[in-house]
Amino acid sequence: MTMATWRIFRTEFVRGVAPVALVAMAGAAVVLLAAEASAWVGRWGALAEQIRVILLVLAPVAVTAGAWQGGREHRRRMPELTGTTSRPPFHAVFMAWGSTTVGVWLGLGVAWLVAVLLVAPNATYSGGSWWWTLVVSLLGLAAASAIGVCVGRLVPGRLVAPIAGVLMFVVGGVATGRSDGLSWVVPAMGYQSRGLSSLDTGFQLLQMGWFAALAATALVLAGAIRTSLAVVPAVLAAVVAVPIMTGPGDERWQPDPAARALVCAGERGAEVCLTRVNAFLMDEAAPRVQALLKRWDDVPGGFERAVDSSALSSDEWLIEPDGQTGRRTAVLDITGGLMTWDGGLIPEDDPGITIETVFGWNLPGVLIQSCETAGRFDDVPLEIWAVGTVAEEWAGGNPDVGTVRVSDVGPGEQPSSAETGPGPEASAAQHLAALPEAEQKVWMGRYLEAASICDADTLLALGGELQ
Amino acid sequence: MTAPTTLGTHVEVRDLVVRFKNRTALEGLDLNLDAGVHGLLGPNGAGKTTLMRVLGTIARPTSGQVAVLGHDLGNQRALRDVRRRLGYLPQHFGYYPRFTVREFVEYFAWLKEMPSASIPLAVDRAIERVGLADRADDRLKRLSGGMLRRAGIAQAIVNDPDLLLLDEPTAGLDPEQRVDFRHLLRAIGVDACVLVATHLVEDVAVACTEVSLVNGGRTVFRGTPDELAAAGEHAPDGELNSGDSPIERGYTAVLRADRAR
Repeated sequence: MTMATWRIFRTEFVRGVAPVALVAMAGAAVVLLAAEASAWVGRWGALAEQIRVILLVLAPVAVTAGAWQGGREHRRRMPELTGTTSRPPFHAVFMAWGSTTVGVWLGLGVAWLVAVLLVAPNATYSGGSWWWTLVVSLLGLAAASAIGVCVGRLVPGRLVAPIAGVLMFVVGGVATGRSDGLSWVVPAMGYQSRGLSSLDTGFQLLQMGWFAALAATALVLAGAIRTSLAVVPAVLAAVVAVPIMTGPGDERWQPDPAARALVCAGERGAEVCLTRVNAFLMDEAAPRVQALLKRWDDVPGGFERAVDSSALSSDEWLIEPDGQTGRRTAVLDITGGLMTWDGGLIPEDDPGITIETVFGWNLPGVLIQSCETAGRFDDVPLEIWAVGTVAEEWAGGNPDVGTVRVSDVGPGEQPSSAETGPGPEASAAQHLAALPEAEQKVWMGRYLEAASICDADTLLALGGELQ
Repeated sequence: MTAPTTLGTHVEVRDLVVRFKNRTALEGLDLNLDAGVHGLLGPNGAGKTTLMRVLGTIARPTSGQVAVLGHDLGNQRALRDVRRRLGYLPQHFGYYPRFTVREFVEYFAWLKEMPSASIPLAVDRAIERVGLADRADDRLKRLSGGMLRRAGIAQAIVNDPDLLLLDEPTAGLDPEQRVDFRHLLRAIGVDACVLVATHLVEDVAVACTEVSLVNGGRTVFRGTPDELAAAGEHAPDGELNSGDSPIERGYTAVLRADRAR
């Protein structure tokens, strides 16, 4: 590349659509990442995945920018002048695409760097080849802007760019909504492992080849004097696309054992284990979960350990007592929105779902699993689920279910009628919490025993005791 | 009529026909041009712009032969070489308003595949020659119509073209700028072939060494500006009022004579 070409590239970059694309991409990416911060904060792999998820919006921005830049000659009536120049049109097309793509990349880069500030200080796992996912994202955006440049150059009209962007969004939405191989042909993706799984490097290279060939086809169509030359990259793209489209969809994700390896804190009896990728939460999670575990000290069949559900296979989710100790391991599903934007845990007093809530889910979980195993899930009286809810609230340390917390009501305010009276489960939970601690533990032990064999009669009797 | 050059004939057009659907723009036009400044006159719709577009390698002839700078334009492989040595300013030219004058001219130097090392100096020189040196870093959208025209001329001459095609180049220029522009044309025309399509016959009278008058898609006059002016002197008395200057009278006389045929 000569010095003159660099200068022209700089001019194209500064004077073309690139600055607008950069700002639009950075702004959109920051907003979209911030909206789902709990899905990726503290995790490199999850951030890379989230970047690809938001390409559903960002790729259409790239298409629009490319189409606007590609259509510039038409809008400015330049073909009369440029048509008399000797440089092959492909060079100008490449320059338009290059400057737009760099603008788009830098916009995403800015957002990524902002996100890095929330990942780097917290991250406890950096493996999983997440950088390949990022590189595929960049190539997907390059292909999107190339398609835009091609469309803008071949189809005159000011509305072409926004229409192309909308079409890209629709195509992306349809593709990512699928769970088969077709979902991989667009830059965006719908499935997220949150850093717990990874894609095969060979497949990532295949995707890079697909996007590169797609971009080459679009650029040759846009800039070559002999458009028939586009057949070469088009055939290449088709060859690469076949194994992608005919292959599996979400099943491409393979669990990353290193990411799922357990990191534990605490002694047996109050042990908390998180996967390595989520271990950055340990400092906050351990004392809060240990406080919940300690409540089960004298409860027969109670919980002595809590494990990040991401480390467990589906059959390991069974909350059964250990054969030797007779004590249980609680499952903590922390893949949801348990994290704050800066990588902390949602505070205990948050009205939404907290790690205490998630811990509490184990209690109805015991009942559900046993009734499903016994084949009586649909036959048991509905009232036993309310008993499970009472146990859930006790385990999660919240006897106020269904009521307004006193702290939520300001001086002189009256709670609305819908919020005032506690429901039956809440009354029962408050009743349970009001009992002496030893009696609470006896009740919970009886619940666990009955729930683990789907004993509806005993459960109904337990519920009756709290009326 | 014209000074001989080492290049030989810059433009050689034989029996050129250009048709657009139902309209014939050029009908058997012949033209030979060597180095020098050539005026191309003719009424609206005579085919001047079409001829410029053909010579500028934008429009394709329907039939006939066109050789530019020693290359037959029918030969696609030769087009690139011709275009490297071409300068062209259309009557209505597009531009990127966010570009500065310097960036605009540099962009065309790049499009014309000038050697990288020579571009900065060539750009400065072209901008200087059209008198925009003090506005070189202004964006095009901030320039007046006349300044824009001069920026257009700068891009056309940045590569020191062997063939310079200018369609209505003085439109929008003030009288002083037109005088400067004529000096520029004469300087370029020493080595290169400059073809200026215009309605302003006084520009032709002052700046051009030769003039061609096109009407109905054909060349109806070829000679020096003095010869065109002389054609007016031989007009019937009743037509003496057909212009304020000798060359205007010559122009009108030739056209009327052609229409009378």
